[in-house]
Amino acid sequence: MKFLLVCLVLCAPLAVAAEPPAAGVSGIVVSDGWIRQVPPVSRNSAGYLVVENRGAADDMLLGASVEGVRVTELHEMVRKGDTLMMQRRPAIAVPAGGQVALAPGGLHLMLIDLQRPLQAGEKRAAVLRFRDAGEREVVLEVRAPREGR
Amino acid sequence: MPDPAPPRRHTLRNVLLTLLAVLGVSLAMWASVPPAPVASDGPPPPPANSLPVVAGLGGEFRLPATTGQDLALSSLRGKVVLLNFGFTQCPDVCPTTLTRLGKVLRELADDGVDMRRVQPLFVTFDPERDSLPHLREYVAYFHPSLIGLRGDQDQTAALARQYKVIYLKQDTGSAGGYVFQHSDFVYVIDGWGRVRLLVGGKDPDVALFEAVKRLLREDPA
Repeated sequence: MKFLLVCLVLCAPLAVAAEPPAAGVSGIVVSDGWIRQVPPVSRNSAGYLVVENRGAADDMLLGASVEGVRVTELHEMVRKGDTLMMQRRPAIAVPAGGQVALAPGGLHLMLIDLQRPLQAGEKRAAVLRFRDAGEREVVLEVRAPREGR
Repeated sequence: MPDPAPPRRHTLRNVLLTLLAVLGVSLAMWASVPPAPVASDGPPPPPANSLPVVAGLGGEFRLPATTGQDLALSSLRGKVVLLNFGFTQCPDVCPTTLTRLGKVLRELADDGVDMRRVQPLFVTFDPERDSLPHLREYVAYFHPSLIGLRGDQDQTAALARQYKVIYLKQDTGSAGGYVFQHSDFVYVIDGWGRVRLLVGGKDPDVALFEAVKRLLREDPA
């Protein structure tokens, strides 16, 4: 377990530096991962990333865990008329040959109970769990949203 | 067949009399005209080419604020107020709205706007979890001039009704506890306390920027 964590932390910068991101055997490629910088008093935040499926078979994102965050869930912000509603998603489909963006105003990783405040520019290791591709290690950079988004 | 023309002198006299009468009536009307609205204590109607008053919502309120005192909308007369509602555990929408509010406020300052005449407010739906000290730290992160307001459940519900803000407590089964389904408008309120524009999440930032500038222009301090 410790070895895995050390690996995760060591590999983290590599994952960010990798450009373009390399596809695994399954064809799942994760890019542009970041965490919304929030006020230090905030206990929650949101994580965003793009999942691309270069493979020939559909896959599903089933869950995630993020370093320094007690619980991470898959959520979606849904607009209904003038209101916005949060929905918890059991899974997010990533169709073969397609991509899914977790982005402000829509799908996101809901980060619940930040165990320490998020620092701008900080990199947090995360593990994404896919139905077929299995676990995928990624790095999420803490930053303020671009263009106010 | 034309009628025989009346003597010329009579016609001229009639015309003059009529003119005099019209002038007299006009003078009398002018003298009895009430003073122009600008000079009165009531709010002047918005200029024809400006943002109309949004009918059917808004109005006075008074709530405990992160300044340590109660804050009444009427105490902000002469300022453009940017009023927004949310809750601090909101992971996506509220920080997005507040980030954009902070951005627009900085742009206005850079543009030379007197920021003492602009007051952003954030009202929490969630007095249960958002204490005033917590709210104070939260709002200050987005912009130093932001004031947080926290009423009790009844005050919050009353204010939401008054401004036609929708908020519904939702239990999504999340480990983070309940959230709110809610609308995300920024209410742009003029120096007389009247709502003049609702800026939604899908409207561009410039809509907010322009509305503030326009309202400040029409109501010079």
